[in-house]
Amino acid sequence: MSAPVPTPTASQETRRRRIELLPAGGGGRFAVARAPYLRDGVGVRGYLGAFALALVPAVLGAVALFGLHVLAVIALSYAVGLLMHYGFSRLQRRPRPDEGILLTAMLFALVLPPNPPWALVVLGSVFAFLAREIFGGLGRYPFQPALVGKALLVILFPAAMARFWEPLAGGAGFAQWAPAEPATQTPLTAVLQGQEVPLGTLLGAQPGLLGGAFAGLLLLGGVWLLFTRAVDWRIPLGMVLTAWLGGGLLTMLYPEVLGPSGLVHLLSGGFLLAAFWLAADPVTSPMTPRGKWLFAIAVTLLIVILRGLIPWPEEAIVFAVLMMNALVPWLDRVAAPRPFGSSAGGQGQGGKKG
Amino acid sequence: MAIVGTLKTFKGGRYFPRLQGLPRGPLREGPVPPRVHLPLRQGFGEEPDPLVEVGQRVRTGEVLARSDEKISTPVLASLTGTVVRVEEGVHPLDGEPTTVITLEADPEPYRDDWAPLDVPRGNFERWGPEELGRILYEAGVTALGKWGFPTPFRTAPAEPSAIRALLVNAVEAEPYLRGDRALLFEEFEKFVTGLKILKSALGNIEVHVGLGYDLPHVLEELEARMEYHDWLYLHPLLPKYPQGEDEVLIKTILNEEVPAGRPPTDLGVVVCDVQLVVAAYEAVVEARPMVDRVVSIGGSAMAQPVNARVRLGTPVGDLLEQFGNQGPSRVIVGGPLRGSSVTDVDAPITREARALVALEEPRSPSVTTRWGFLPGADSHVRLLPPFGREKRATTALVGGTKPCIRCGDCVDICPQNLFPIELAEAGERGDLERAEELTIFACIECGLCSYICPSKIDLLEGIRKAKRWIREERLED
Ligand code: SF4
Ligand code: SF4
Repeated sequence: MSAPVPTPTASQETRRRRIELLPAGGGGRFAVARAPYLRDGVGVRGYLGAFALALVPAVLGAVALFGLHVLAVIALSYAVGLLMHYGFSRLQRRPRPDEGILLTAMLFALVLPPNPPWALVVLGSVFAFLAREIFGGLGRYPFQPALVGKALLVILFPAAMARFWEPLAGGAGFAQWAPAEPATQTPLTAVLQGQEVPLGTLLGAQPGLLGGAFAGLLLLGGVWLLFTRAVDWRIPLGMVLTAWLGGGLLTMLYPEVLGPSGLVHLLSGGFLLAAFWLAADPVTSPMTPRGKWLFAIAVTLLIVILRGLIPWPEEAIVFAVLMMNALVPWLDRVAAPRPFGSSAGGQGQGGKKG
Repeated sequence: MAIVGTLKTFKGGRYFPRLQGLPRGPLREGPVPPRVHLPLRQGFGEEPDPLVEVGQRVRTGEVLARSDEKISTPVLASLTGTVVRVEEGVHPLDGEPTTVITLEADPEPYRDDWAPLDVPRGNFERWGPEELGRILYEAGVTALGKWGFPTPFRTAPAEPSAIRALLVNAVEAEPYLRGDRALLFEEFEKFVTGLKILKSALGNIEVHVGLGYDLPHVLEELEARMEYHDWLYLHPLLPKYPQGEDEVLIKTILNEEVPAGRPPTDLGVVVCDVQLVVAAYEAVVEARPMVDRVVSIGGSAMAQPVNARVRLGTPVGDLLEQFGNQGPSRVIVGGPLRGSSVTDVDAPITREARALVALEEPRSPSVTTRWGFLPGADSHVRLLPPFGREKRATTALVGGTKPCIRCGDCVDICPQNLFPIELAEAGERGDLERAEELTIFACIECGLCSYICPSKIDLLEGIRKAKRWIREERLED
């Protein structure tokens, strides 16, 4: 019962011509080539850009408090950053521009004192971008570059870096926002010297770092970051809770060195800037969940303790974060997650084809 | 009484937003195609030996290939017609060589002539596991599921006697996969009886059904219908991808971990899906061999997204023609996260093909690299509140590969608690020992790490490569 072997019919041939299937990777550079074929739409730009965007309220607050020159400081920081990045990426043949600059330049400007000398802004930016670019730029730097720049400035020019300004220093109308005189004290130094500072002051304007002066606005940006899940919640939340509870405990034990309460530590000295941005920078913080918790707790306790010990309490966040950055690879190793199914020794045959 | 557990879920994973082109509407009956290609290696297992010759006439449901001594399941003719080719070809999904049998349908007027299964009379509850296993085997049902369904005919890595629990995966979470849902709605009676059949086929076991909690009426109905069966456990689950994967389902429902790279039968557990349950009913009660399956046909480039019963071996070109593909697109057999893209309109639908997805492909990089995220693509959900409208899924890379920014999102999303970037980097360095130390074979290739990475690093591809090297190295030893 054998039938002749039919040849493809005409309709099948036309069909074959009408439907065009793209080969894997058909779209070339713009399309994924292999499964998974869907990719999340959030890229590095969206990710790190969100961090920079969340700083906008704090920048506006700083402009209102200290004057328009704040914008010039930020612009200068971006200009130096872009130039340095351009040079280095040419040397190292890396793609340009890299989105991380959005964040690094902004953070560097915000950890400066409110009215820094121009020369120091440039010098610090150069330091910061050196710390970023010699390691290979985006994703490769082990230490938060903005903080490296700041740390070098503090060590080289401690006096210039300690000139904080008193916001809201009298006057009427718009003039009341202009800085009047350098403040000798920030709430943090005052508290550490045993003076009372009402908590209300801490949430509003206070003398301090350029970006850390308005804790309420930082909190606003931070909550937006948490809400949009651009920042991993473990580090900011871990730091806030540790400052409140752990800081509270430490200050109870050593009130004369560490000040009266954990809440003051939480709301002053740019702590929120550290919690949501500087320490939480994805590049220089651990990747594993447990590592993030350990990192957050250690950074916070270091900040609280350093504030009592070093001559520049306002800069405690800088040194604490940098110190913990050095431990990140180790933290990731000891806190690596335990894969499910590894108890059996992981000596599987792997896949159905063995 | 059927026991209902609490709402459960697992670590990691991801909900997907509503995507354009989800299959909807009633289950459609696909037409009988003019020709079908049947790769002999279907589903889990080895390739059975062909029993037919070129030129031979076959009826729908007739056995084309069968080997009782190999771990395999018979391949059946899915239409009435003539064998026109038996030759070496490649499997449409993995590209590995296999024998392919091509059948040509009878000319008009076409008559679908079925070869019914050899099924005894009476109530299936009295037939015993041996007989039920034979029917399921001969019906071709046992090849469904990642690791097959155990019968006395060597259809899975374990004997039926080693099995203590059957898990039914009735939660579909991968985008565009809607076939099981359609079957639950339309063939509910078959599903209920099918559960009893499978339970009888495996002897004295527990049956756990994991059901999406977004289908509460199905859950209630099932609870009411199975009131007197205390071997049945119902588990409402969050429909989060990849809840349906064997390893994840077992971890969620039984809280046991499948040893890395081993089949679940090592734990005495079998996982099957709704499709298998319904096909078991049709085989045992209706004596109907499994010659078709429900395929979810959808995607942003599909004009008419539907769920359809499709004859096995149907070329994807036939389906694309019928359900309307607008212009060129990337065509994927299986879901968009786990499937394989096909480049040949003749690539057939096989037993494991749950879906046929056509996605638009970006032709220019404009928006994607300018803003870092593509308006309307499956995204913004994280940076902007979701707007409740349907997202348009494409295969856009969204920005091009960048260095890893160490965000840890891949660690967070991995349902197997792995360290994807560490694995991929170890693979890159050729440090296979480190990769094994990190239990690389626990990776179930769900693809979520590649999906979520903001730097758009293809982590899964790196892991696959490392796995391949390790396997090759083991073969050499
Ligand atoms: S490592 Fe494997 S299991 Fe984990 S997310 Fe990636 S593909 Fe999925
Ligand atoms: S998700 Fe991508 S960028 Fe983030 S840690 Fe993993 S590999 Fe790196």
